[in-house]
Amino acid sequence: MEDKKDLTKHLIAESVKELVKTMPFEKLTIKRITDKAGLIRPAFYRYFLDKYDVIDWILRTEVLEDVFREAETGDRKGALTMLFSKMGEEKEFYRKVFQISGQNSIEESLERQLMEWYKGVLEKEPGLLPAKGNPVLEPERVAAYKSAGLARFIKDWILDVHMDPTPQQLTEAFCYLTPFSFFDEKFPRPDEKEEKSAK
Amino acid sequence: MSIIEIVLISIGLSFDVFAVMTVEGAMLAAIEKKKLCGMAVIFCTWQLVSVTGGYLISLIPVFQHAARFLQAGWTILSTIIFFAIAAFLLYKAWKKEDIHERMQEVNFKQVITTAILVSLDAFFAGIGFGFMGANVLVVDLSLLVVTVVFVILGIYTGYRLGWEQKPAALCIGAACIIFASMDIIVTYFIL
Repeated sequence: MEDKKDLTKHLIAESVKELVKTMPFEKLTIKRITDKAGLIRPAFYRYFLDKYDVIDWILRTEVLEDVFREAETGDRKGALTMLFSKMGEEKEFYRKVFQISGQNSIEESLERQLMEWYKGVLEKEPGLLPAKGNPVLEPERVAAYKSAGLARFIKDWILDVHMDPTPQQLTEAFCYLTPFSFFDEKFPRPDEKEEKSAK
Repeated sequence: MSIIEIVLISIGLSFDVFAVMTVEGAMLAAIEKKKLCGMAVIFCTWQLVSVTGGYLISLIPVFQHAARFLQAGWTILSTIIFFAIAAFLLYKAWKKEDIHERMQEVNFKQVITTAILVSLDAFFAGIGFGFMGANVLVVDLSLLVVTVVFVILGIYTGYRLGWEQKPAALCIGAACIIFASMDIIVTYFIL
């Protein structure tokens, strides 16, 4: 029963991916999606609330679940590379859906799912945050900031047609950008850090 | 006013109800017969209240008195009203709506609001019927039967095929009303 449910969800998801190649996401209707999947229209609501829910599901099951699983093994950098790699494989699809703006956007969905994950990690490992005292650095706020940053980074990469970095280059860039702060005068530049550690 | 004209205009008005019901049906995961009956009752009630209300406006003594001398004038006014309703339906068909298809339960508060808004053209049609001297019982019965049928058809159409039929339905509704109005013009002014 579960297998049949998953199979149908995959059919619907594949149908959305195929249709998005040929028409704007806004023009997609549930009838078009179910016709492409070979289903009757009422079947759609047994699995999804709306077409944005399908995008949510694609992101979660085809990208983020594996990424979070990898991160739990301890290899967080590898998980990040996996994230870029998986999204890169379907870059054209994500480029079309990242063009949706507003409250149902994929950026919002990605940010929301990343935030849940970041929050979970920070709650499990409270040592990642500085000692208590700064109310701005509560796990929820830090998770919101971090997830917004990563979601925005991904969106800019996906939408940029002139740039085609490898997943490793993206990981390196994101890891550099994340701790870097213009306002922290004591924060050494990466090359200064290397000189210090060489000494 | 002939029964055919009355029925055609009732059908034209009910296509507006049909159009709205396709959107409602497009959001349903399943059709519950009780709720479907509830929606039909709400729409029928408001359509009847509106058309009868409009009809009663035409019975105001000043209009009745004037009607004895200006029969042709009132007929022209009626056809203008019907053409205006048809134009309004065409405008609704042309207007590009952004409908977000999302599963939701029937919200009867929303249904009542929609029924009231949709019945506004029935109100003006009622005035038109009154000026034409149509039999109000025939008008009410015709509109009642057609509204019930179109509520049910609309919900099932939206459920099975989505809301995409809405513009076509509005155009057909407008065409019915235009056809009836042309028939009135031919009958009362040419023949």
